[in-house]
Amino acid sequence: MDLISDRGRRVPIEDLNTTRLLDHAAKQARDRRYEDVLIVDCDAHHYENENLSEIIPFMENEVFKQLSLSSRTKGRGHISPVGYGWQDMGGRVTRYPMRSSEKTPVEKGPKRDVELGFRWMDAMGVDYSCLFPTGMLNIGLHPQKEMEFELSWAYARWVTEKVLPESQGRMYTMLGLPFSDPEGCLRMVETFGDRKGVGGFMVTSVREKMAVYDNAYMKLYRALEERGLALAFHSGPNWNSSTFQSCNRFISAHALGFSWFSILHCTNWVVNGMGERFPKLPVIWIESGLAWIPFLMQKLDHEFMLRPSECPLLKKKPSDYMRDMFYSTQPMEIQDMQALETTFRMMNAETQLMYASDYPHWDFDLPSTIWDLPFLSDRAKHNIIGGTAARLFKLEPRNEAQRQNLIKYGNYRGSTAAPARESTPPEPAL
Amino acid sequence: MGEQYVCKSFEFKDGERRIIRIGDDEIGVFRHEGEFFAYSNYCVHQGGPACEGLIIARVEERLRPDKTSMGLFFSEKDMSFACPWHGYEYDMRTGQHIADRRVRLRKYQVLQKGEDIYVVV
Amino acid sequence: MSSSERMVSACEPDAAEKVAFVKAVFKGIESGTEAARIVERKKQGEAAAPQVELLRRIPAQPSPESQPLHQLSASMLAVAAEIEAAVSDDDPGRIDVRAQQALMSALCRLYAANDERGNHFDVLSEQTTVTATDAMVLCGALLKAVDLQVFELALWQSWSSR
Repeated sequence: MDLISDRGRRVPIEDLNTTRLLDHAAKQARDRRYEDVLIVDCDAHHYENENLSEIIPFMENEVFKQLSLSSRTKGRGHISPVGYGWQDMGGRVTRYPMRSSEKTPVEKGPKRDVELGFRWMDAMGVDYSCLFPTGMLNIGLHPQKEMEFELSWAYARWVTEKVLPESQGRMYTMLGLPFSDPEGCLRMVETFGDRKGVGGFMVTSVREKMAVYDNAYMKLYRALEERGLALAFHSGPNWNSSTFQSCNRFISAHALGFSWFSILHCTNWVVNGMGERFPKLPVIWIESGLAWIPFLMQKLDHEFMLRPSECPLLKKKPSDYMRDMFYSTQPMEIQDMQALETTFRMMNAETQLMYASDYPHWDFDLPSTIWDLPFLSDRAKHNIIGGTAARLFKLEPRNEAQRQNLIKYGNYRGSTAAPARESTPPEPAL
Repeated sequence: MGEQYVCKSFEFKDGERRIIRIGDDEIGVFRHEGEFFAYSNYCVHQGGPACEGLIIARVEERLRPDKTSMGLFFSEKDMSFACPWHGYEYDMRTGQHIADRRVRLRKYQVLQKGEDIYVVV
Repeated sequence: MSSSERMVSACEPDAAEKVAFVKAVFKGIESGTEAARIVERKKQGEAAAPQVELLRRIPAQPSPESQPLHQLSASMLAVAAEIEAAVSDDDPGRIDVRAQQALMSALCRLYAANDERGNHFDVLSEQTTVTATDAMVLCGALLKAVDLQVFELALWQSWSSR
């Protein structure tokens, strides 16, 4: 196929092959003997928008289903919000424009998604990955809360009934919640919370208005906490937001957006004492990198000492509550090693940080971004790269060496404490 | 290891690239505007296949004398190649990262003896 | 060059950081691994001369002008030149109406087919002699030919986000 280069030149390029593209990643995995270490990728993606025709039939409401199916005919626009921008930098990140050229035994659908997932997981040495959608990360920008629920519901059914069962237990997910509809969120947890491969639920934090502290959500948080499920906030950019209207380059809206939405919702979470209300609920902040964490810890601690009367539920400093929560690594800002080391210390990375690749998105991180850090203890390395996630999501080692390493660093008991969840009977056929 | 034979110059068209392995090294050899350049095929960022991505003219922002911007343009002279993993962009002639010249790919000397092309490893 | 050396040569941090990093990396190399074998080979001084192996040959990026034209494309360019000449000579009548209709229809379908396949390009090159009036005359005639009003075009463009 062709790529477009400067001034519209067409550049002939061979078809994409993920295994070949990631050949150097596979070499890193061999050199570092990753097969002996359980590696969990807490944030990987597939392009569910390529399978909308399979997903939409799972929508419950007949009217919205008809609207969505009808709008699938060519040239009729989008059924959910679309982020704009230049993720692939004009094709410099070749796997974006070339994605459709990659050959798989099954051309389309869940089997292809899983096959592509295995290709990059195997190349990087990843044992398990937490699968998230791509386009639906913008679902929080949909003006109709009914559509937010319908699409979240349909995706949840499709991914748990069609995709994850193909993954030989190597993929799990945290299902997106229709956060504009608190009752709908609760229904999602009650319906899907016990399904195999569901490790928790996720809020797409790209939202212009979201009150994580609203009384309407307390039942939801309780339901998650009771079931031992995690609550994740997955960040993203929104160039459309009024906050970023003065950004004239994608880099600005992207760099700020990913940090901003976590800063915003984490602040509200902490100052409203959610950590006191739900101390056993694991909360994970995903895809904002790490540089925002020391900033927010210092900022909130500073103001908290001056205005404690505004946060009467807090029994310790905001940063202490932040240290009780979990964070995914990517996109990790490895620019100043001392600053990074300080960040790891401030956030208790050894127990609170979990490796994430974000593959196949443009700024993915390989496991070596953690494995090669010069200041980490072996325990911290093993925990961050998979041990902590193995405990949190009850993931089994895939060979004896991995089991020994999990035992050595105290991550094994958790992974066997609860048996793997059995699949609930699927809902009536469509 | 010394000089390693790559191919005949007439087999290597202008604008073409060859990715070769010599021992444990993987090297991208470019022929750009008649000249040969060779760099390590391991991106300094995360080790991606740095020499196998898009070749594209450098983007520059032109300013008027009063410092107002005329906007973005493709350079008429400077070419880059971008690592396909994350887009780390290197200068074709130096192998230096276009944003930070201290960050650079290992550069190999290319010798032309008659019609034979060699890379010095 | 091993991957560890590669990182060191490439990143160029300060000396202390460099030493710490190298130590950490080498500490991580265990016997029996590919990395260990690489280090061992380096120490042994590479007894056998390595083979040059061609992994990939990536063809040149042709400029539009240098790309050989398909025969049909070449004929079209020739026809276009003759039509331009007829217009310049102020003698458009010498081209049969049926021929103009056939060409217009085929070009229309060709452009739409390209667009449908995501093959987007500027409909006119930078060197075009087409004026704004020419474009308006033809657009109006095309809409009329398929019984469309201008507002319908606008509506369709907004629906399909064009």
